[in-house]
Amino acid sequence: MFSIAGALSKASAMEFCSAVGSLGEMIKDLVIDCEKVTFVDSEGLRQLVIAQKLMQKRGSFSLIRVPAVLSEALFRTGLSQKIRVLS
Amino acid sequence: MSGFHRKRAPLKTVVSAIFAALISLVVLFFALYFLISGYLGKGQSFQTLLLEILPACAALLFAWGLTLFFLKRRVGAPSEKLRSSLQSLSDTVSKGARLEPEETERDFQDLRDELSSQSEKLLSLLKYTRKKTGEEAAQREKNALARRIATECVAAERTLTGADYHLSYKLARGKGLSFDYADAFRIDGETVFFAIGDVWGQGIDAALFLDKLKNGLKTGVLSGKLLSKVMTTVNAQLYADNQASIGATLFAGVYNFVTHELHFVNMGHFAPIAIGSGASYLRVRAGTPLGLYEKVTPSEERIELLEGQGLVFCTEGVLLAAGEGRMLGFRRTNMTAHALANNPKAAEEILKSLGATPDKEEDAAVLVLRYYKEPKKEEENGGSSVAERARNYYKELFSKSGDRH
Repeated sequence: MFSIAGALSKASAMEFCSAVGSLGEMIKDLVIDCEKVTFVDSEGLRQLVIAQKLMQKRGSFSLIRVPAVLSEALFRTGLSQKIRVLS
Repeated sequence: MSGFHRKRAPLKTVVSAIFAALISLVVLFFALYFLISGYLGKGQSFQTLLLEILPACAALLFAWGLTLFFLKRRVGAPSEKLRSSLQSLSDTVSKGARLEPEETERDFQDLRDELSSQSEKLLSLLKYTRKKTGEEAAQREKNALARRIATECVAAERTLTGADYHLSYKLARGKGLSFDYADAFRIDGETVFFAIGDVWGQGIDAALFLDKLKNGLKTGVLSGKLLSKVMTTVNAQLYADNQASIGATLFAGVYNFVTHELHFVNMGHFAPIAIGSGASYLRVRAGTPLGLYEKVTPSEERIELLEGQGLVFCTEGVLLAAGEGRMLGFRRTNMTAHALANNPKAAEEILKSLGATPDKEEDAAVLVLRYYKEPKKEEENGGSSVAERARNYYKELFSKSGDRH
């Protein structure tokens, strides 16, 4: 399980991307704890999509403890139908 | 600067010589001790002892002599050399100091080594700096190219007006490399197409994506396909070879300014602000952004605008500007849109009012569609009546029937 905090935005995109990219091939299922996410913009959502595509080739990708700010963005952009959100 | 180099004391030589002398003394002492004690212990006579020990003693004394000779050479020679150097210095002081030959060679060697090491460091630094500068210059060129593509691909503003409708957008390009999209053009004598969206991604990839998006939409819409079909086709085009996972949210609509029907598709974009309907936002179905997934299921919807109603669309840059960098600008944007929607330059005024100016990092775009409740004021239309304005409008429109932007 992975935990992210603060803004999931253009500023933190590179960090998030490299963190997910550095996960070894051994890791098949990735769960991201989003409880501490305070802000998300289009670049943040794109990074989630990239992570999801990467992990789906290996196993699964899901989000848990999604705050309202992220949940609203996922719903608005239709990504809630594509990215698995665990309750 | 004087070329004379002061001779250093041969400390190492002295120490090693003393150490060698001490070792030989100790060896000599122990050898004698063991020989004498051994012989006397076996009951040998003192004469035999002397006869057998003498050669050994002679050998040891010879070794000791050699040690002393070595000491003299190693310790004495430098002192003599120093003396001769000082003499030489005093002799040549009037001609200017010079380096003593042996020292000069050594110093030059040291200097050469030092310079060689420094030059290697400098060369590697220079190489790194050149590489870095080259990379930065290349990156700057790429960024400038990306901006140019985006700027040339999407016009910064466009206005389409009729007797009782107004469709316009204004796009403020920011300093960053993420691009917004907006477009509006007439399809035929009754309908206009408009679209607004945010491209997800940056740089040249995003700029080329924007270009593909614009051309795909225009081609699809002008070929008379349903909006949902156009979205499916454009998504397939954008998804192919999309290695960088660039995407775009999009709200696209076809507005019939005779019947005031609006057909639209929303691909993950912000819902438009509703003007004159009592609701804050138009309720729309969420769709998936274009280009990110192989398959999308766009859902075409239809509404009818009533007199006095309108829609205001904005991109993420507007909301970020209104929320001062946070996505908190929904309320402020909504209030501003309601206050300025009747302004003839509503899109521009809303952008200005929310601080979405080109000095910002993000692009920002506002698109306004209005169906006027009241006929436009006489002074705005050169004093002609509504009927006359309508006639003039259609006359002008049909005379330009071939002109589809």
